Amino acid sequence: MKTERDNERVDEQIVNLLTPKHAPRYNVSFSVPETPKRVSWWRYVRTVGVAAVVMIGVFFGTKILMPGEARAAQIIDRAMAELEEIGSCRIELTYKPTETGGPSTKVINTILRTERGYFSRQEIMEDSGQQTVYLYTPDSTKMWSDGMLNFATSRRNQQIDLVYWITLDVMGKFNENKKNLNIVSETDSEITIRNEKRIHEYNYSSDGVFSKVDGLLKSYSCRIKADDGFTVFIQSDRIDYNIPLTVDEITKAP
Amino acid sequence: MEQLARLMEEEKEDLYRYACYRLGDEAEAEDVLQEVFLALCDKAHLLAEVENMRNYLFRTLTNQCGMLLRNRQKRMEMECDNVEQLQVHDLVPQDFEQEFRMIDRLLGKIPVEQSEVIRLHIHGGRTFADIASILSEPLPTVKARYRYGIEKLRDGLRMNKLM
Repeated sequence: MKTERDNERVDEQIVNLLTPKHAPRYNVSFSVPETPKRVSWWRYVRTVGVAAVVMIGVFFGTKILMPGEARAAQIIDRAMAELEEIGSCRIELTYKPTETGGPSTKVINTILRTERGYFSRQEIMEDSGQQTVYLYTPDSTKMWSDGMLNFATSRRNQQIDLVYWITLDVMGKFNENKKNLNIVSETDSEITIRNEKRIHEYNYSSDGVFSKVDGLLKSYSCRIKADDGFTVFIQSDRIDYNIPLTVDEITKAP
Repeated sequence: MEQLARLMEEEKEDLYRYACYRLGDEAEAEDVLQEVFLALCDKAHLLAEVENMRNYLFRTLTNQCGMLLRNRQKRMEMECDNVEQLQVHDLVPQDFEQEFRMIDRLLGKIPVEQSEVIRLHIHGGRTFADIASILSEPLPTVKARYRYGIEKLRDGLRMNKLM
């Protein structure tokens, strides 16, 4: 026969069992970014700049009403075949107010294709010294500012998702539109295709230089002019394909 | 927004512990907390009307966890089918994973409305009055659910000769 006292003793043991003794610690801070007294050039340009990087995707996918061009179409076909073999890509960009000067911001975009899906990392180094890293995985999005994680979610942020610009889907769209390419220059080894577009209050003019050998994008530049006169110039410093890269490397905390 | 961030900072250990032992996955618990924070930031202009912000945080978190668990319910049910009966050595977990499995097995034996009160009280550090507010239930109901839940656990453990 169990007494009331027995029951109380067992209940205490149960509460003790249910009380965590190995609970993980939570080290991430919840902080609302302070509003800077003076908005930096990069903070102002970020909306434009993000749109400009997305513009690379638009560059591939937009229909341009120009006469057909068989040679460019062949290059795109070749690029389609090459992209099948590409597992990773890194593009280094510089953002400046004009082609000739002003405060500059370096942005390194790295993309890794895996069986699980695309991993994308965007490292932003402002002229002020502030460093920001965005990481997009098939399952989540994270953001570190000066080494501190202050944004993480299991949802993917499509607004600034850079992955698709090099994907076959986009190239497939480009392939559909290959008869309407605006070729601005051509050499024995390269072909330059221009895309001009207006998105919201911004006018974009992008030049993509493609190799005739493998059809891949070799360099990229973009001039952006806002209706209020604000300008941004983006230039790729370097584009590498099939860099040695693992999921651990691309997802590591800065 | 700053007030919300401050509150999240103050409550984050309780919120995180609740989410960890509800979901059994540290990374998923981190994600959920961030999602709760971002979701509340998005509607910061409406939060002024919330009477008890701390309880509102927990209500948002429990809803978010519940949604995640419903999404993976099928998988969990399949795993539960294979769960062996608890053994004496299971009652002395050595790490978070073992502890979560033990607690989840124990609380899995009682109705969800009872286990939820126990989780909020023991893992979330909430008082019964807080829990009544979080779950929108009368205080006596909340206390009764806790008591019945513990009694069922007691009976179950005795039946299996673990107590």
